[in-house]
Amino acid sequence: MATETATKVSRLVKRLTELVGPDGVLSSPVELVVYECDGYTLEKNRPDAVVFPRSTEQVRDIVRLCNELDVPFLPRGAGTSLAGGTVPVGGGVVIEFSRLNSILEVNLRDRYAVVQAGVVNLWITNRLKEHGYHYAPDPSSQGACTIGGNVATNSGGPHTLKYGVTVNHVLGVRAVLADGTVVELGGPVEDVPGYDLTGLLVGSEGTLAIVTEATVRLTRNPEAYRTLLAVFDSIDDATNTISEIIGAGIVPAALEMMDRLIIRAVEEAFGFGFPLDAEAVLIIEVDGLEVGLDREAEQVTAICRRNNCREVRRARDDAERAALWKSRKQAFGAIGRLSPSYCTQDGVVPRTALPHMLRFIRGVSEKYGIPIANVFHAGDGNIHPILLFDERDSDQVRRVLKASHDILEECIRLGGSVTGEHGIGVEKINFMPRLFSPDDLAVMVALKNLFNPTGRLSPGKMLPVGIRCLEQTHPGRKAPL
Amino acid sequence: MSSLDDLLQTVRQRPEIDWQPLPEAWAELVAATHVARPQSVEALRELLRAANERAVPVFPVGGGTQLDWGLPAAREGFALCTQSLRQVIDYPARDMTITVQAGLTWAELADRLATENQWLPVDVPFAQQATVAGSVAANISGPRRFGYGTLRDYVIGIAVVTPDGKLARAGGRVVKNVAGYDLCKLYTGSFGTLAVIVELTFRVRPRPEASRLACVRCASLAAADRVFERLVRSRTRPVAVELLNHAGAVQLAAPGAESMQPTQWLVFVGFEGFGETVDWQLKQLADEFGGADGVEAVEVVPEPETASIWHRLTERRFVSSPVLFKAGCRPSQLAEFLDLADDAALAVQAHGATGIVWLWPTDPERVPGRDWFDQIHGWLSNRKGYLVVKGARWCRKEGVAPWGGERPDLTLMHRVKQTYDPNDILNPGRFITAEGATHSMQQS
Ligand SMILES: Cc1cc2nc3c(=O)[nH]c(=O)nc-3n(C[C@H](O)[C@H](O)[C@H](O)COP(=O)(O)OP(=O)(O)OC[C@H]3O[C@@H](n4cnc5c(N)ncnc54)[C@H](O)[C@@H]3O)c2cc1C
Repeated sequence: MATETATKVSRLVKRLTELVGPDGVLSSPVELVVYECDGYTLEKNRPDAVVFPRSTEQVRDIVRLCNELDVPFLPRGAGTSLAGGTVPVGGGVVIEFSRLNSILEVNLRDRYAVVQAGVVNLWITNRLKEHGYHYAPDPSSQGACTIGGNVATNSGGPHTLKYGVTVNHVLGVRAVLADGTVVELGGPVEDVPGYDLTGLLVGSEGTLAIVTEATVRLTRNPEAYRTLLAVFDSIDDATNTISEIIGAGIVPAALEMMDRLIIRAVEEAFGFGFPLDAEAVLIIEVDGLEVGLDREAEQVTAICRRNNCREVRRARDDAERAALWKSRKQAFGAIGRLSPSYCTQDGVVPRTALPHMLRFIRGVSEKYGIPIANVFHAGDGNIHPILLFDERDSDQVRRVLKASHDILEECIRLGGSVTGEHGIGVEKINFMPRLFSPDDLAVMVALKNLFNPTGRLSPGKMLPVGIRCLEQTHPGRKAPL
Repeated sequence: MSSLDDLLQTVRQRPEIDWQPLPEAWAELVAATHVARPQSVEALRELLRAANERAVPVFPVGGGTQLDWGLPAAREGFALCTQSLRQVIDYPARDMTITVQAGLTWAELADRLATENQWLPVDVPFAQQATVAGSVAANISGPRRFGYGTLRDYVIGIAVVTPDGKLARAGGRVVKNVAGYDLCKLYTGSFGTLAVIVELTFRVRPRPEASRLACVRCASLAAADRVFERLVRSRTRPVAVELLNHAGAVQLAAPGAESMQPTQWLVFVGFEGFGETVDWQLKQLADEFGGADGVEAVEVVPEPETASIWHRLTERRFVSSPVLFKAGCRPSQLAEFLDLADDAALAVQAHGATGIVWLWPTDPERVPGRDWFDQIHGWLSNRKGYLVVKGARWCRKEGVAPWGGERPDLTLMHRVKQTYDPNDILNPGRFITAEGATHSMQQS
């Protein structure tokens, strides 16, 4: 058995090498370790090979080869998924996108760009800097994550509150289907007649097709910003402020919350000057034309004050604004200071339910003896409780899984969702039947069977079908199926 | 006994389904003599299941305002109207979402939202008749799409009934959600060919404090194009940029249309937001464009007339013409396209900043024919644009395929249709059809 597998793998590697050259394939166990998991470390599995295509045609050929040899395959961008989207369930081939990294076209007059899937999110905005445009979806991981990964997970970010998530900014894609067919869907012309298959592929977590290029909408930079930091002595006051701002019909560009634990970690890492004794801070940004912006900022400030805010600071200049956003966007990175391991949860509740939800999370933290930090897209009701633990302690791991479960169940009970932006991946697959009825799922499965009939493309993700669900009791290596 | 008669005998006695003769206005547009109005989602499910079992065509209808997109089916069936399902299911205004049944009219939705000073900023014509689900199925949009996006950006949750009678949901009721496939996108713009929409959840927005329009009078199309080019870089941030030719301006009864030269073009620029922000932009627009090459005047539409002009920009093009053409190209190609397509007898209204153009004949004696269509369609197709037709009768007369010619991505779409409607009962032939069947996308 073992030798038979070894022969199969070496044949696979040889054929892949023929397609992309020796510098385009990794296959030694040491090199493969990196590709066992992504930002979600509670589930791992080693692929048989990792391949680095340089063109859509190479992706197509790799897909055809995998079908011929009957091995599973899946696309991988930067591996920042927090739901185990890139775990190679069943082994097989990881198609890595770092070499498909060109910005192919920028058209300012028509407000779009065509980029390859391996282009890092922030590169687009950097490229547009002198022109006064940007690419609006700004996940906190934007310095690393790729457009392919963003399209697959329909990523959001702090500024998606006003500007929308990835799907609102993707006009078309070029993609390789599971059988190796190359398709072009949508494009810069709006309302192309036919079904919106582009919109359907966005958020499909790599289970319907492999995206090799995307046509994305470019957004003009706002003329001016007011970036406020509101400091609170109680979480309730902060969350009530959020509900009140949204309820008052104000649409800030961003409305983010950080609690005491996160403030401490971020302050240690970046020294921005956050008050360490505060229970919570809100970062509230309003943007638009200079005229009228002060009025909007004052409306926001008044709501903060009404909710017992201790102080509202305003970023004095672009540098201070940038420092504030850096602290927020790199908050996850600072968590290493608090704990050896952490698990970032992702849930959504109606915004009016945020005060309740944050109290509930505190209760869960106490119940399981697991510290939980909160830094999240408050304006969207998109919570990110971060559970702090030590991966080497199996009892802690067990408690983390239980605590996560309780939090997500509460999101469902409140009429929300178990994921606002990180995706289902392998992590939340068991929640799908809690969110959706058998009939709802049957309609989704029909689509998956149409696009991915053999199930070789990214098996074991998103929909609990075909392949067994991963049991979430024990982190560690899963045997290939 | 035909399968239609068999079906009618089986389900007609059910009290929750109201059967009526087909309204005259819908004749020729749907291949049916009767319309069924289920009084509950359960009844609708049963009806659809029964039709599917007998392969009887079903024509989902809302307010009937968009029925002449595509071709009516060759096979006879019945119209299934959602007008009796018109409840507001949940409106948590402070969460800025609303969940409604399919048959609520767009005007009822707007009225309800207005009570909380909210709106859904998509321009839907015939709002008193158009239903929410029909508008979503036809992916209706208007001038404000430039500033606010289209329905695809607002539908966050959906419930549909599939041909085999399943009630299936996707999305949810919260504004951010990536659990499962986003089938909201698939059903939006699918013209009732995949499932019958029974419930929708929208995200909504606060109503802007002020809404104003300015009109930039241009000496020529070239001058209007320069205005577009500069608007992209203007300090102002319009929510709508509408272009009208002379005939279009006359049809819309735009201010000063009578005194316009045939070569002149009007650009209406819309601003919304805080009062002072809108005022500043109106002034800024005049500063930036007043006296520019080819610009004859920049006039602010007087406040009392503003609502009426917005209304006409949303509504007028749909009135009274037997055929309406919709073209799409990139905004930078617009002037070249219009140069080619323009004809004194055609009214033009373009959502200029998005590259979408509506053209319709103003003189019944001078309706363009197939030659014109083929030329324009060919030009656009070569540039990855499109030309489609709203006007089933015209299409049949001219032998034109309403959705344009073959495209490589259609293969996949046919397979989607076949997956969800294997018996081809939902609006057969109107839009995308099952693989292999003759379909209205094909050039006849
Ligand atoms: C510190 C940190 C902060 C984060 N902040 C945010 C945030 O604010 N908002 C947010 O939404 N997410 C956030 N994330 C999650 C993550 O960054 C996003 O999900 C991101 O889109 C993943 O991009 P990636 O290139 O790393 O994709 P990967 O992790 O490599 O892959 C993610 C999924 O996409 C699929 N995929 C990758 N490339 C393709 C392709 N070309 N075609 C089809 N499928 C593909 C993979 O198979 C996998 O299922 C954060 C993660 C971290 C670690």
